[in-house]
Amino acid sequence: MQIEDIVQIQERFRSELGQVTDLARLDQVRRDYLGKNSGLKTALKDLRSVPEESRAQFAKLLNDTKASIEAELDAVKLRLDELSRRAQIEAEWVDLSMPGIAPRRGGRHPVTEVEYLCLGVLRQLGFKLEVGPEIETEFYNFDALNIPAHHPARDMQDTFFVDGGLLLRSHTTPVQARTLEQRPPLPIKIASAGRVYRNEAVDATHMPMFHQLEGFWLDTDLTFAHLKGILRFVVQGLYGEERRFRFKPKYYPYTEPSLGMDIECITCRGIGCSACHGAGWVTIIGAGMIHRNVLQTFGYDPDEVSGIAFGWGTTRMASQWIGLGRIKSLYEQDLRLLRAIHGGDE
Amino acid sequence: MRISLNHLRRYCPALPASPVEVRNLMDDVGLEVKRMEDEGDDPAVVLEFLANRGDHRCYAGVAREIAARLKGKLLLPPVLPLTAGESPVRLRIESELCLLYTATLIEAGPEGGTLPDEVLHPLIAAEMQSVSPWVDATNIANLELGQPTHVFDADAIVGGITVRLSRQGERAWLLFQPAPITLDEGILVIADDEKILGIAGVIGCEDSKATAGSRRLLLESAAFDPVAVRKGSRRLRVSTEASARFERGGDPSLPLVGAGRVAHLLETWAGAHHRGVGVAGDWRDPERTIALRPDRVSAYFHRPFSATEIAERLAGYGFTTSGGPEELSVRVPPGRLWDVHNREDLYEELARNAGYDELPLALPAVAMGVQESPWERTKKRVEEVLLGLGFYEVMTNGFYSRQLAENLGIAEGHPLWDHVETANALDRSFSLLKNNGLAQAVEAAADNLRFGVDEIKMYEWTRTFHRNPAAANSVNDERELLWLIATGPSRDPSWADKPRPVDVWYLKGIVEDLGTELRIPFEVTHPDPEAPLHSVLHPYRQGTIRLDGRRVGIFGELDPTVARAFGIKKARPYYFEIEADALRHEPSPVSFSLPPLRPPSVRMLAFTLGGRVEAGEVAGCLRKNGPDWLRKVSIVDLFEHEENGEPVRTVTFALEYRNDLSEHSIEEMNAVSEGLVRAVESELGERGVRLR
Repeated sequence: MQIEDIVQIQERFRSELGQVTDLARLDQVRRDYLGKNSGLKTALKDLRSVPEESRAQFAKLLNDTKASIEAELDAVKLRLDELSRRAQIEAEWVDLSMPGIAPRRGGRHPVTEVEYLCLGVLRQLGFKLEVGPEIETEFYNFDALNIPAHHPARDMQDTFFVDGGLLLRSHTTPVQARTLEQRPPLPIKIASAGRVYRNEAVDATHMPMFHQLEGFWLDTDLTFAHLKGILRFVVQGLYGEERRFRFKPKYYPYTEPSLGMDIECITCRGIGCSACHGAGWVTIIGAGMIHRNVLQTFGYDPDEVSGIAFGWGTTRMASQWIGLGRIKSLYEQDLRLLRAIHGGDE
Repeated sequence: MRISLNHLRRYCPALPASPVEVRNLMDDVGLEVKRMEDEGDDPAVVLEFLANRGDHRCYAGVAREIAARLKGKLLLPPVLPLTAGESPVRLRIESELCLLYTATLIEAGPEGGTLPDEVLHPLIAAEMQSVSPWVDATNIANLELGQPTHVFDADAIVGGITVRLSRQGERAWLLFQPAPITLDEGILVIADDEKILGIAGVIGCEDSKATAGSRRLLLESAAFDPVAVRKGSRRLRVSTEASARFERGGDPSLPLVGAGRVAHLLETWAGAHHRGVGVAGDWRDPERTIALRPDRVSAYFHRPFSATEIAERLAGYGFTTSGGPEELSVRVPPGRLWDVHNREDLYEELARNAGYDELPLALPAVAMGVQESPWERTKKRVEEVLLGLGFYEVMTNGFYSRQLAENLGIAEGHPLWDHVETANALDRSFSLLKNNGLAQAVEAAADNLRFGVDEIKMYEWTRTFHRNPAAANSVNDERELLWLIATGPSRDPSWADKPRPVDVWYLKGIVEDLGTELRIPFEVTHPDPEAPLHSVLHPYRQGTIRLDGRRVGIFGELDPTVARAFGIKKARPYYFEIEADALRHEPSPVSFSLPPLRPPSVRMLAFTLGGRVEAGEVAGCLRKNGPDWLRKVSIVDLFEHEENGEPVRTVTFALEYRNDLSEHSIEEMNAVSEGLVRAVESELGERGVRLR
């Protein structure tokens, strides 16, 4: 092979390289000019046949040409890689207006959400959750709670009676009675939550079953001021420190004094609307100092021990929270509603 | 009770002019305002009274409450002073449940007369009908003073009046009833020598009622035991203004005052005259006193209360006090004997008088909060698994109807046949306490399907009730369980692909997920015919969840017959339930082997399974016969096809060999795999298993 041949190889290479538009063709050109059957490889193998006096010059030309071809191939490869990447990216345009496809998360029931929130606040004060049966005796549901037979207060809680003279608990307060019966060491701080039952005609706002949550605290020196202070802590924990609240007298047989706690209406912010019957306030908590008769039933001396009890309807609270006037809807297992509450697409 | 504010102002001149202020004030003193009604120049308020405050149920009671707060005057309407003398009729009390009974004879004047609108105002405001001057006067006196009275036509009374308990078989023709009824024995009644004149404190009778034409009237004004009145009212299912008052405790000092007010109204406006008053009964004010120490009151409210302040505040409600600055003796007025018994009752009077909002707040010392209990944490972890799978929590009733239970297609003798039942439900939908979660779960699914919701995933924590005479309450056990129901696509359908529908393996996956999350070794085994829900699920497409060998749950496809009974035609709901106690199981210790240092060597073996040979049997055979370095046998594919016209399944198993140190050659692994094929064909070949 002559020097002129090498020069021609390089010229042909450049001509072909100039026409390369994709990586496959580039690989072919690389094989054609640098592969084992290429002219340059053949020339290198035949180097011994070159006259000695010109061998060094010829070898240098071969190496320079090979280096030049490699450099030019690499440069084109870089350019083609870049073009390829750009083309790929361009081809990978997506329509972001299409809906996402990650599996959708479900949701807890609003009453459970409220219950968890409430228990979280009560835990800060040291309240532990206790549970009790839903089928109760008259003793725990009424008698032990200072609601004797034929007391008008039994009208406040129309009761479902079941077999054996038992009843479906009309409130969660029997858990208090059952706890006090065990006489655990003071202080006692218990929260209870769950289903309660009222034998009422069903309408949009009355259900035969709904949910309540309550807490009670028994200690040696609890006062009315403590009752108010605890309720403020709870309400501010649930509704924020800015929410206005007020206390008013109430009657519950198992507490004395008893009180109700109102908060500024969530809907109208205190102006007055149909949700609050124009009052600007809605009652959310019933509470009081545990009645001495309850304490004495379980052997506590009211001169030595006092107690605070408070409770609220988590069903009602949940419906207020989500702005659902028709409480019944919370118990209709309507997935369209539950998805909508959780921000789904129903 | 609907009260005119203008009329109320006659009793309490200090009443604020603004209805809004009145409303806030009433709320503040424990008079629950149901609503305000602005009737032009006669605004009214509808009140709902606290159950222990019978004394509130009249203008005087409401006015007393407000006047005490405002330190204003309480003005009461004029009353004719009546004194007991020779009774116009023989009176006898045979039951101690009647505390005091008065009878006043009133004779109509020749001219007669009517009560003017001004006098009828409280009646009109309360939206009560005007009947006759006699009846109107009694109703007005009750609205004004809170003392129910009743007028009999004196000429209809035979002999004398006796207050006694009803006797067996006795009949009475109650007012407004179409015919006489037979009374239960033991109801407190008012009777003459021949018949019953009225149910004490509840209602009069037709055959002795006063009419507009009556000329001689016998006015009853009495005090009865609250429970006796309540029992009478309940047993007859009759509730009246009078019974509402007496049930909450009437004022035993009021009968003559109430009669005096009626007499005053009738003498002033209706031309009538009273002709004698008889009184029976020996009720005496017990003069109940309660000791109150100002220092304890101050500590209770975290603000000073002097003896003087306490006395002044309580005086507004009719309490009288004696004693010095260290300790007061507080005497309870007769009208409050039923609800004021101890010092806490007086604390409430003081708090109400001072204003609940005006008293200080304090937080008791709290050392520190508490953590969630292990069970609370477990529940949340279970919920996280379900929420992640797209389930929504629902809440169903504790009871259901017999019809719903019958939809399960069960017969007597079936473990789900027997229910704890409600005895007095207003609605038949609440007749049975649920003994399973499935019925309501399927009903919920059916309801959603009817609304076009075809992707259903719901769960509930609930309780079921099961008869058990050996239980602590001799009636039932309660069991807490978690159920879930699903039908439709196993995950959200999308434009990108079509998800597989929920099926029995999906539910099995949830069992496995829960087991992994809680580290509880649940085991899924074949259907258990002893499971109560066995018969309502598809006989093959169901599984039993076991823990330590014990059945703790079940899952499977709803039996198509049951689905149809619930109105489900096309959808195939899958149900799952597990005992909550099983989820409380102690978690297994963390136990694992380090992952291999090098990628494992995997060999795939596909076996064709004929008949009902389970893939699990083949996998078990592979594991049993494999070397200890056979790390894992997984099922990775199922191909259902036909051979010779028979349906067969080809299941592909991935055999994962551990070969960290390259101690096993490819040839050795291939030889082991071939040996495993021979083992499977040897053990299961007769049942139609062969390498594909």
